[in-house]
Amino acid sequence: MIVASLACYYALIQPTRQGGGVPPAKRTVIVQDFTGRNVTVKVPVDRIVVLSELDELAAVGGEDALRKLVALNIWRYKQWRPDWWEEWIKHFPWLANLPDTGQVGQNFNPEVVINVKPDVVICWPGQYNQLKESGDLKKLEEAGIRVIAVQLLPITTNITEHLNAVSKTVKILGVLLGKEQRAEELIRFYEEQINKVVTRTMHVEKRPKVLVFITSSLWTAYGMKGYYHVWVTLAGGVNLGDKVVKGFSGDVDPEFVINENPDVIIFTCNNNFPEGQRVVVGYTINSTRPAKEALKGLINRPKWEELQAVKNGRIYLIHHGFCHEKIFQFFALQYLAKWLHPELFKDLNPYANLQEFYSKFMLFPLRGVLAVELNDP
Amino acid sequence: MLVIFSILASATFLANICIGLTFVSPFQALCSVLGDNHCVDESTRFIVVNYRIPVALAALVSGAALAIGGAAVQAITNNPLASPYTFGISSAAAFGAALLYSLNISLIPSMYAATVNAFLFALMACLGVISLSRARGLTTVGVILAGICISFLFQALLALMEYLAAQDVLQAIVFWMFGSLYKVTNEKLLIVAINTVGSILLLLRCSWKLTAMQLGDEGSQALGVNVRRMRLMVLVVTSLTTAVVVSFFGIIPFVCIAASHIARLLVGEDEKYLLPCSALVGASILSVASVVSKVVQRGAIMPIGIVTSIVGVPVLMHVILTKRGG
Repeated sequence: MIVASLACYYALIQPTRQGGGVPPAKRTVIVQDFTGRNVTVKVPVDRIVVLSELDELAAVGGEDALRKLVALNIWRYKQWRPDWWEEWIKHFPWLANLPDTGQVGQNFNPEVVINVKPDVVICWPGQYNQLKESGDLKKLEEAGIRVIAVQLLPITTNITEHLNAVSKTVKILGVLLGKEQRAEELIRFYEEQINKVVTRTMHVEKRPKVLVFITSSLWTAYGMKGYYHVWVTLAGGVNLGDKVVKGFSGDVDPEFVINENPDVIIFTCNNNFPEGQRVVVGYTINSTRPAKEALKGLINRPKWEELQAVKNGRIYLIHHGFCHEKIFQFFALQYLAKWLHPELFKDLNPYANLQEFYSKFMLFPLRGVLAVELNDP
Repeated sequence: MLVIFSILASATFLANICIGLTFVSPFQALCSVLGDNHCVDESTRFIVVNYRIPVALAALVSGAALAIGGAAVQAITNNPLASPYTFGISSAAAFGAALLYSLNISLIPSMYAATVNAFLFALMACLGVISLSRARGLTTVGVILAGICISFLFQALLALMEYLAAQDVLQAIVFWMFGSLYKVTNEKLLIVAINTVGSILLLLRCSWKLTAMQLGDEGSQALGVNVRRMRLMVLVVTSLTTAVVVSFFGIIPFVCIAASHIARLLVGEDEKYLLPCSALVGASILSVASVVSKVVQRGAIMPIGIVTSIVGVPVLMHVILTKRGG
């Protein structure tokens, strides 16, 4: 009798000691991640480490999920997405006090992760492989930590494969966080945004010729295995880089550009520009002027004034950080669709759609300039 | 031999102009230069004048510059594997560019900040080598050791810049280091050309002294050669020449060693012939590399540093395997 009441006491009181209501009952599930492994994990998890999916974690799990973070790859945000990080700690200053795991492949510290005893570490397949090669994965697994790899942008123009990857990733996060319903909502929203474009571009006949340049190097363009191969193709265009660059990216012959005479030229830029860290697009930018100035400089090359793209003012700049491995990457597809087929997508407002996404799923409102065209319509 | 090499250099130069995404005949190339619109269409003329010729000229003068840098340094260190790169010039130049990209620090703010940074740091590397090796009496060993030390220093500093860099910037640094002749401008060509010609003339003037240094310090001093002054002079001249090339075009490895090695095999150790022949061989090697970088995947340009590495490594192996004595 005493034992029974003690048992009841512990069953009821223990869970509520952490404040809030009674948490959902834990169950054991088997998650198949993007490395093909079956990972057994008790969900919903309580302690999470993410190596790059902070925004996705928040989108699926809200602030609850954020509070489950016990360590984070802060280094990557500070170094490679400084304006995103600024925004995050403006709204959640305590994030800055989390232990920093470091970036896989650079300064990742497995001890930091082991010390915080997470239930699960979320990363990309590429990062998973790096952890495996460096031997850090073994250390994590020996400590009983589950590592789960998710992916949001496989290099494929097959829309079903694309949506399946996103759906699988979001569902995994949903199961881990105990937010399956929100995950479903998120998947539906994402699919809707993608379909806004592909349902129309599927049947488009005239596909404009597009070149997508990396701003950090004069003649480097995205090729067959690059992210923009996916976006340009799905947006109803032809990525000229595919013809000659068989890898992710590579230098194109300046003569090739002249000969091919692209209809559209897009420059991708991350948070800063080489040649001095001029930030031209991002959360912290309020005007399109810096980007336009940058674009004017970029198109100032011999004979480019005769290219169709330049003559018709179809020169654009897009924030690369929003275009790959992010749950809001539909932004890239929508902007590209609008630029490649302005008439077909007159009614499409990518920025408004992204704002809607932010208000529904993110933990702070959208702001900043993220995509710019040289000549305003 | 000089004549043969001159013909080789001219032939490869011409090939570099004619071969590319589209084949341009030598006749059309000539018409383009003469501005005769009757025998060549406008688009071909444009491509030849704006892209083919500048890149081909860049290959010519840069190849020559790197080659004589290699030949001269090898003479003063009596080591066929030495080159200005072993003094850390390439790492220092890359560090200079990375410093700008990562931390936005430019020694002389300007439109050409990356190039200026690269050049000034390359010179600093040379100063470092000169100062350090002076402490050891500017001996062969002293120069080589100083070079290794400075090289490691700048490699470490470069790594630090890469560590501090944002993703785009990291990419920019890597691309900068790859080496590309497509960064050429008329001003750059003029500067490199003047530098290269000036260096050759200066070095040729004391070619017999350089040749004498093959006998070792004692032997050459017996012949009246001031070995310390020679080493200093060569270090300064070759550093300047190489620094200019690296800061303008990035890191193009192996030309320094491959060119002088091939020339040495064919004309021997007499610097009077070795220097100009190395220059011509270097120009030819880089011209050929430029052609290869254009045709491997037509429409794309393979970084020229990769092409010269692929060609240069077998040459380097040959040097190592056939090196006789010390």
